[in-house]
Amino acid sequence: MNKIDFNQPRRQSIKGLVLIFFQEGKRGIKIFWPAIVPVLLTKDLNNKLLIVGLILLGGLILTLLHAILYFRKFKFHIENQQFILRKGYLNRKVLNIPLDRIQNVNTNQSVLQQFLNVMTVEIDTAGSAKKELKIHALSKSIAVELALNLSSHLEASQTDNSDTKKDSNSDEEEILRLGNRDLLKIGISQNHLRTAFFIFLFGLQFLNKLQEYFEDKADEYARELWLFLSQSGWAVIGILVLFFILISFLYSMIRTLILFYDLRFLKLNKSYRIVSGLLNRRNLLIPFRKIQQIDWETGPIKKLFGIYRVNIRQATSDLAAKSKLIELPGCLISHIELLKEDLFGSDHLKNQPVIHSSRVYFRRNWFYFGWLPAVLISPVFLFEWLYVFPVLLWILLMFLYSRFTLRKSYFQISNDQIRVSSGAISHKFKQMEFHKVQHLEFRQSIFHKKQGVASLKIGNASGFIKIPFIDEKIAKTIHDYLLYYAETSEKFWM
Amino acid sequence: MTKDFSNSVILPDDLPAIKPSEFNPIDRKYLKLIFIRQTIAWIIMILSGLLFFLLAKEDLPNFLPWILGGILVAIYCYSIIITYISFPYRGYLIREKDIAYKRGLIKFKLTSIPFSRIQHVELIQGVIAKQINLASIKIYTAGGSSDDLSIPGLPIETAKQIREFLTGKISSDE
Repeated sequence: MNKIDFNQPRRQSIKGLVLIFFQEGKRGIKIFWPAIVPVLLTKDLNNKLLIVGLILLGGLILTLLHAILYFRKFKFHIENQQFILRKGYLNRKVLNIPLDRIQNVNTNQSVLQQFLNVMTVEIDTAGSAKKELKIHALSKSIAVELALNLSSHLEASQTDNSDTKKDSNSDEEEILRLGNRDLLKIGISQNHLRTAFFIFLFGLQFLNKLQEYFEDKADEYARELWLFLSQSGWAVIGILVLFFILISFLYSMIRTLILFYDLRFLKLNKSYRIVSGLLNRRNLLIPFRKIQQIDWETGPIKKLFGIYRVNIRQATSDLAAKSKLIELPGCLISHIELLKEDLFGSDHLKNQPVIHSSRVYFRRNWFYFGWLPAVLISPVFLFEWLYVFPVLLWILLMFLYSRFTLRKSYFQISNDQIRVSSGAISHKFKQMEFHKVQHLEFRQSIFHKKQGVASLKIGNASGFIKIPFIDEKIAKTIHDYLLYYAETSEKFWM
Repeated sequence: MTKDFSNSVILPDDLPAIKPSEFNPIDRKYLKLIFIRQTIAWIIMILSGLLFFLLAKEDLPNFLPWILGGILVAIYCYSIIITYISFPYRGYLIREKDIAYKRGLIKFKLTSIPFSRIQHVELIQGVIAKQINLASIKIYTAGGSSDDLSIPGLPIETAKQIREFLTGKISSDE
């Protein structure tokens, strides 16, 4: 293959114009279709076709203009060991990516791209803005050459983990395997209230849709239904609630079965492997060095069974995609101890003092979730003073909720890692090592400054850990210490 | 204080603390930019509100538009005043090994990122910002979230310098 000079800024393949046009057109339709629907639904037919036609034509011209401008301003080149991408005509954007920050270079080809003989080059920096680092329309030869150029530095650093992949079948040690009885336990201990709520919402939406179709009769039905409900009273409401819980229970069971059927959690050398699923068996390999954080959680029912749900959090370049969040339901406490030992070494956090969140956290929660909604709804009392009682009950419930939250909000810290506890009904733990720290955030509102409390957010490549409302001085010291640690630590975060 | 870390932690005697007094202020022209942006957003909001009232077929009580309009204007004034008062609290700090940005009077927020964790740096210049020669620097770390650091309201020259400095830092420290 003849060498292609990437030092000069270059555009995408001219055939890419077609691709951009389709992509942006699709995006435009996604955004603007709700604007067209009301026009389609209006009853007089004469204008309808004309208006829709005009809108479509306008959209077409705009998209074409946009595509051309976008294409003309989209340029990239390599300079001083950096990949530089310029784009945008209204908002100019320049992206600089040092070559040695590139984690991965993928090439991709969709059906349309195959037809046009172009390729997508996707550059993964394990940073954010993943979508912005895709070049969608490079002619095939250039794409391949560029991918080679960008990933040339990777070869040296990645040989060690390709070794581990080769002998993957030997020396695997099974840590956890879920049988049918475990699946039953996991299904039962899911959060049914939450599922029921979502199903309820979904149902409401569905009803709304139905109402649109049966516009005239809906009122009639609704009145009849309301009559029926008000006459039969509590028994029917009880049955309805039971019905929803039953449905959500079934839903949880099926979801558990599909996702976690015959889950096997294996360990080999310096990585974990997870195989699970009924219809779609997924097989994940997780090198230890990619793991940023471990979460584990137990709830009231889970506690009865003595099981925890564990999430292994990997470095990800796209936080929105939860696919890299690996869920292990039905772990016993011994499994968590094992994970901690593998990833964090012997647990010396155990002997560290427990530092609780300030009482300010309780007051703030009670105010926001209890009193504030109560005050907002208070005008209702003018119409029916009896509503005072449910509102008082709500305030009392929120008092308990905030108490529980405060009681479970604490952390333990050692010189190289931290474990944070949170939750109200359920109990969650998060643990990470300090050399994985990516960014830090210190928050304090003007009210909390007087009370000497502040919150801290410790970001890593898989998300963040929040420590709410702790003593201001402790928060500051941890902030400065973590910065210092991240800057002096010899260990790489991945 | 050190007792909270227990005896296993060896805190350096003089932990380099971030001091709010050392921060560089943001260009005052940025204040103008925020005002313009807020005003445009509010004009759009108020216009669409008006449109709603004009199109609403049902007879709404006469006083309703006035009450809603009053509330909107009050919120607008509030946001303008808060932006103005809290503007001096915005500032950035570049140290030997990290960069930090702080903002907020009512809700103070300080974000810091060590240079060694920066993945890439972006220079952004919007349409209005271009007219008054301002730009923002956006810094991404791994696992990026919207919480990554972004410094708005920099004179374009400064912004370019900072970008060059940071990209130089991240490609040199390996």
